[in-house]
Amino acid sequence: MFRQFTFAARSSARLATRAAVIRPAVFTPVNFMRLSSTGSPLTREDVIARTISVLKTFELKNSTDKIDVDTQFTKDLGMDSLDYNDALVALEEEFDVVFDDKTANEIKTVGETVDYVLKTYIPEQEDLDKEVR
Amino acid sequence: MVRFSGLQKEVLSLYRDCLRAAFQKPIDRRQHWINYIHSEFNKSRNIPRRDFSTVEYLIRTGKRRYEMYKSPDIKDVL
Repeated sequence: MFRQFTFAARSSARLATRAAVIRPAVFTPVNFMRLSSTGSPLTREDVIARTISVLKTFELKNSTDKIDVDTQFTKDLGMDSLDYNDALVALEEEFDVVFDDKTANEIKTVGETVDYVLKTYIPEQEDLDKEVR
Repeated sequence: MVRFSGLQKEVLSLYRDCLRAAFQKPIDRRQHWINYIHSEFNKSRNIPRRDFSTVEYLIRTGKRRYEMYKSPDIKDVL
């Protein structure tokens, strides 16, 4: 019985330490109408809006309601390196881009993320075909 | 700006690879994988960054597990 008690105490302590860690809520890809599907290129405003909505699916420690391009992941959103890498991978899914290791390790602000997405985003295949022809 | 050490970069790279692999899993199981990755990395969250041998060991075992679990044949994790 005592053993059970210590186990319970230990696991509750473990839970308490874990609770302090911020983690994303459910990963739900944002269902915006993709502008790219209509053939128009991705605008900066569009990327910013979608990035912010992805970030808002995460439980942020410093839940400042306002997220803009100058928001820093660590300072303003209270994310640690693992947390914001979570966010980066969620954004990769959202925009179908891949952050290379160097960029992912150096990115600090939402604006830098948006710029990288705009730089590496490849429009849908249809558009590419048209350009090639 | 926080500069990461080589070892930290390796950990973050492995973490990203794991999450990317999780997004390749069937959508209804994806959350299981993400929770699993979080819990596995959280277990080692408090290891001091100077404890090189432990971190190196964990990266090695982590990479092996990643290679094993990323197979499309493995659909779910509990």
